[in-house]
Amino acid sequence: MRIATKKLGDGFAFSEILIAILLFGLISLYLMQLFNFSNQGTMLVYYQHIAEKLAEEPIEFLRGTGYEGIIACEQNKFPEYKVDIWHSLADSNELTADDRPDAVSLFERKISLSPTVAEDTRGYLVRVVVRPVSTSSSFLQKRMEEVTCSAFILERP
Amino acid sequence: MLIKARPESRLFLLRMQSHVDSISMTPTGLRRTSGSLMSLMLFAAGILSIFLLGYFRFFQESANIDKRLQHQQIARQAAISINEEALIRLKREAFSPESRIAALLFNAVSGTECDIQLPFSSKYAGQLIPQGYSCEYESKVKVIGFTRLSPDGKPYASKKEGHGIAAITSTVVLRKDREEKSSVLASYKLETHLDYLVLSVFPGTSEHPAFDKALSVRNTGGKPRIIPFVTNRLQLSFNDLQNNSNVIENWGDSSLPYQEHSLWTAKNLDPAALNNAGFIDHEKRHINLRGIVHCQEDIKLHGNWEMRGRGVLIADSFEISGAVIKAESKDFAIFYARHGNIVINTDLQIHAGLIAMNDKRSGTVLPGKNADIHGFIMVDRISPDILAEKSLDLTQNPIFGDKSYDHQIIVGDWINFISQTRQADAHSN
Repeated sequence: MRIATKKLGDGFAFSEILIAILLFGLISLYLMQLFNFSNQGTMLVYYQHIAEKLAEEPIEFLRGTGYEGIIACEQNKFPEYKVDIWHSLADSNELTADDRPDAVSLFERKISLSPTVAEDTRGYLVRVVVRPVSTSSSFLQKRMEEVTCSAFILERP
Repeated sequence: MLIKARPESRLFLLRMQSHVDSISMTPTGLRRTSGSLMSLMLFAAGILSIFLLGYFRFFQESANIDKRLQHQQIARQAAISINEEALIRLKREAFSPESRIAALLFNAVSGTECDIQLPFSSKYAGQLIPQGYSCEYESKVKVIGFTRLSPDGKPYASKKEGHGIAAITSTVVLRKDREEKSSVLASYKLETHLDYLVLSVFPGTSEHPAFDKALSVRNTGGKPRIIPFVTNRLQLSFNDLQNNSNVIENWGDSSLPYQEHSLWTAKNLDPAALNNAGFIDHEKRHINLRGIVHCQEDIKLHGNWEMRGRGVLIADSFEISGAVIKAESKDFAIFYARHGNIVINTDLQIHAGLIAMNDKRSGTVLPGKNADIHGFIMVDRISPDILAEKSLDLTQNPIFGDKSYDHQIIVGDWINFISQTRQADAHSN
């Protein structure tokens, strides 16, 4: 019997090369998608971080002013921290003169104050909600949920 | 090469055919090749697939980072809020002699701890976390490094006096509730340290009279004298001091009260700072005292005031032109003029003990009108001329003789150490 053998100098078949290109193409496509996915994930974490800081900002400010400061805030004496309405955010905090990242313009914020009492302790439950503005990118609209931050601020003896 | 296959060895032939692709013929004999590109590609694709699977898992995990950040943020805010209530509870209960926490801080055995009850958190902590989650929390206070020696290494006047650190530890564990079991999403531990003082506000010693006497005069031209409360109300004259007083033999120069500055709660404040700190609240007309508060200038109290809390106000001199009425029966105030006099320009009630003593032995109380003091008077001298024209009515305040209110525990306003430990894990139980 004559055995058909492949010699070294014969090269690759055209079909083999096509399949190889197809395989590499598929893998590369998947890899590109993965990079895109990774990039989106990183951006989402970045936006999440900014939203959390924007939610924490009024709480930290009011914690600094104390119980009396919250009463002033409830009477809307701090334009930067309007109560019970959704408001957009500027690149810098007028009250504290702190600069904010450009991305804050993509979010809006709502602060709610609820007076609470337990035994001899009076306080406020402060709830801050941050969400993407309606004019922000569809990516942010679809992927990002509302960020809520809640805390007590109590009257000190 | 010709291979002859015998009929009985068909199996051998089949095996040979399966290997024949990997055998090539050369004039020198048999040689193994590197295989087809197809199998090489399949091998490479397999390796890449395994690599990509790992890569995919990595990014799948990283996609959950935003959720983890959110869980940590919720746990952190809850811990800060709960810790804030713990701080307030500590300050309140430290001021109530009958409370558990006051007993812990007063006995001051380093390392001992007790739970802090948090009624506000137990009612509202559920509103700090989103629906579907639950949290466990606790706060404890612990005594650290209490010493009964002053900073210069000398023992304080009273054996119970001293200073140390109250450490509050608040822990929050955030859980996700699932059917029959819950998993820990994040935990946050916050430890804050505050200085605290144990001080005597009625520092009566064997060397000088206690504050339950009506009038104590250090320098009457003769020996120091005291007039005790025979009834709970006395109208004093200079003759009483000469005829009805008791002599104190050992009232020395070094036994002025409140000499230990390290036990003062606030020092060197000016009147504006007193107002800002809320000790003398001009807007509400309140005097809020805790511990020993020192003003480095004169204090003028015009109009009527409400006295809240228990403590000592030290200033260079005082001018009182209105009533000072305590808010509750347990409240008391002691006004101490260290360099000048206490001038009283009102006949309205003053609920305070008055001390006017200094190194020159010149401190006195000068009633511009008939003064009505609910407390005691302790001075360097009494002017006979003034007492001949004006009356000095003294009404006993029994709290100045109540030993249970002698020592006070003052917790500092400033946190001097803070430690935050966060832990994000996901185990079920």
